Amino acid sequence: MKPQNKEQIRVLIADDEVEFITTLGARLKLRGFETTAVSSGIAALKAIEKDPPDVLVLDLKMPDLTGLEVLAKVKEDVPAIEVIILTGHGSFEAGKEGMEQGAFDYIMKPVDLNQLITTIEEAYLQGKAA
Amino acid sequence: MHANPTFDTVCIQAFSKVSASISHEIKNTMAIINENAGLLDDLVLMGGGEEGVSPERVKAAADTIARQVIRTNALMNHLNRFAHSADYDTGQESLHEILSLIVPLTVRQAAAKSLEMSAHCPEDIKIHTHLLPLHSLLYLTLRLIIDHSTDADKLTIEGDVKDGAVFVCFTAACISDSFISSFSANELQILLTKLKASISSDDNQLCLTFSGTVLR
Repeated sequence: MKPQNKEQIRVLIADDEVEFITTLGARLKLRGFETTAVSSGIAALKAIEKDPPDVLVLDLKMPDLTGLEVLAKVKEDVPAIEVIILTGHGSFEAGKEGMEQGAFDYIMKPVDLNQLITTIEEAYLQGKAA
Repeated sequence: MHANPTFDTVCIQAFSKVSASISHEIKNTMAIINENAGLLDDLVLMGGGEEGVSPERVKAAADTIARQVIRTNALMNHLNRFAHSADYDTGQESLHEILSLIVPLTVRQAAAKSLEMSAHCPEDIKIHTHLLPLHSLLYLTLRLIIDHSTDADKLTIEGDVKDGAVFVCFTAACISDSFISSFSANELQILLTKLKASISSDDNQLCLTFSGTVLR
């Protein structure tokens, strides 16, 4: 089952690679998502406090706070936000650890956009159902 | 740390950390290239309308791809140079070139801590020694200092010759007495022994002095 209207899905992308989040954000916008991008863990938490997204796409390795630290804070303060972990690690362990701590799913870089979109939609529907 | 470190395990540890760091960073450059290649596809698909394809957006995506290719190439050059330090048991290399290799290998870890790093070394110093353990020791020492540093600290690396011996000194606020004590007990001692190098410390500074032949 897919969301009826993608415009209703608000996505926050957090990754310290600015050229990555700029382009990914632009491509998701072309496909109808409402996207915001930030380049650090602290900036992600501030953005969430100001305007909580439906889905957070979160890199594991960032300066200031790690992705897992951000995930823990989000699950504590705003558990309704579903989190998708992005990882550049070659192994699955890092992503699995995120899921054990409450992430909806994990995706490895480089990102398959269609896979990411499907995962965002599924995460959104799960969040709405909860 | 390994339970029973040997010379081989410590050198492998250095190479593993270098490989893991560089491969992780290359995943990021590939992710950026991937997104921008996808964006070019998107622009072509969108370009069927009256407005056509925006040349500015195409150029921006192409420039980003080119930048990331340059970045990836630099990363692979560093990995290649580090790997070749194992070609021979001993060899001769410029100390300036060695620091120009080792310091950039730790830039990502330093950036994660907002650590400001600077390295200074005359260009005319050459050292003849065991290059693999030398590269490994300098890299692992830098990584250890970065791990112990606090956010927004400054780290200075200085290489030169004094009394006929090459030295490399690291200066940072986190280099305290307790750091020096833990460094002295560290498995890096195995590399210091191989290199016949000694440690000295003073006022937030750790110095490694090497006994290899110095050429100038």
